[in-house]
Amino acid sequence: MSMFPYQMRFLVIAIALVVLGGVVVWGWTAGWGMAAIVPLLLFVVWLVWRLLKEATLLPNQFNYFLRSLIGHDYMIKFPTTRDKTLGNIYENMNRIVASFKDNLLDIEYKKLYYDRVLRIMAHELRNTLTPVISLSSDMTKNPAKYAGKRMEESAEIIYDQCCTMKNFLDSYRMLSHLPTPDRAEVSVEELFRKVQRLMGDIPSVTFSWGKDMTICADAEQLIQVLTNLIKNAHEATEGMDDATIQVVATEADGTSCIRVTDNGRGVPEEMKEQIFLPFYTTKSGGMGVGLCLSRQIMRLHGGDLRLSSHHGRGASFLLTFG
Amino acid sequence: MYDYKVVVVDDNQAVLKSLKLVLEDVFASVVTLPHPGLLVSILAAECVDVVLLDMNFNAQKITGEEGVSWLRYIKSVPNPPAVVMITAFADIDLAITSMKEGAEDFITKPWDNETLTNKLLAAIDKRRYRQQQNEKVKKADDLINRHDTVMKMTLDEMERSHIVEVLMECKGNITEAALRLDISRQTLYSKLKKYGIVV
Repeated sequence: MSMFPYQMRFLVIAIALVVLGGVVVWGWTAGWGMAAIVPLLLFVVWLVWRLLKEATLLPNQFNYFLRSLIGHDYMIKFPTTRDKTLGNIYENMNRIVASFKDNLLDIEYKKLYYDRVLRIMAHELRNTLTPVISLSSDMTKNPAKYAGKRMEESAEIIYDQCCTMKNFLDSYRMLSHLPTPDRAEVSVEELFRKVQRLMGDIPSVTFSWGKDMTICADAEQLIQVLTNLIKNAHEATEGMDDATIQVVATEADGTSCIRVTDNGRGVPEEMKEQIFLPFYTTKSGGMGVGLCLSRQIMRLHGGDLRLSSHHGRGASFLLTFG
Repeated sequence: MYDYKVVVVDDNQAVLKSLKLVLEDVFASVVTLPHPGLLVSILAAECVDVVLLDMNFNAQKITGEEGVSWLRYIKSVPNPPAVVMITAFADIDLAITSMKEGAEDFITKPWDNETLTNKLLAAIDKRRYRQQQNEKVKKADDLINRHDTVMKMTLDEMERSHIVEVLMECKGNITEAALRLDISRQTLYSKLKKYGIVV
């Protein structure tokens, strides 16, 4: 039965019902015996039941669909069926449920991200403002005390703190105003040469790439990512005589990737996911947005930035493009 | 200007510099330290009245654990200074923990300079009060011990002991001692001979 389209089934049953109904009435008036009428009547009743079932199938499924969405139950799934019309409807409803589920995950992730950013911003501001409030308050109450050198010293402290706040805001702006990549086919060789020029002469860095390899990417953003990774690698290998930093671009099955590997301090297991968080830094002077920004850039390129590291045995960052 | 020694411990250079400028006219000596590790030598060498201690030294783990463990260390040295903790805003749990661990007070960032100064002075006073109470207790203990010893003495031993003590208080002055004991000099001399006391 389910092979036939939904609407056709409905029509068939309706027609059968009318015909049979007519037969029963005609039989009744023609004086047929109960033995003939009753089975036919039963058949009519069965047909009515089937008709109701067909009529209420879609509304019931639809009701189930709506209740699930309202109740935030995104685990429901409608079955595949040979009935093409119904099948299409079920498929679309499944798609909508999946989309709702993805949105929810997206919202959760964003919420955590912004919670963290706001918390750190508040902490930073509070800490940076403390010496400014203390000092300027004392200067207002005891102006005679702040003459000559003391005035210079105080003004410098207040100025430095304001610069710190500005730097923090600038870093945040970089994170929140990342432009969509302007992608074009870029020669890997040219790209690497540009990076080398920008970074100056770091002897431990070596570049290698496939012959005539190109990558579809926003050159400026990619350079930003590479310089950030190489700078981190350089810091991780500081003081080492045998420091090596390798930047390797490879192509396989139509997908390109670049790997930046160093033999430095490495990243402890518990920090491996945290280093990509905004404003996460272990350096006293650092802002902590470099890796967060780099990963965002790679994700905007349809790829990702991942880390593999064995603590104490260096780190390897993989850039994938989509 | 109060003749006290204040030590400030905070990993933020700007906080240290600004506090030095603000406090150096109020307290005789203001020492700034970027890390609590440096406290070890300072506390051992010099007589510090109060330590202003930041709760957090690790940029990422803002839990205050470090601050509390340093607080414990400070309170474990002989005759420990008073401690005022600098906590983050609304960090009530941490403030309570530090008070339980012996901190005299806490203050949040950003602070009002006058409040900070008052808290430092109050902490120093609290410390002095505690020192005085400790001394009183020690004196009381001494007295009790003395009493116990005295109760075991014979009459002669008591007399001897009392004469020696009065003589010591009068710094060897026989005349004064005799007056105090309400006896004549002659009597005192014979007693000295009797008990073999040499002045």
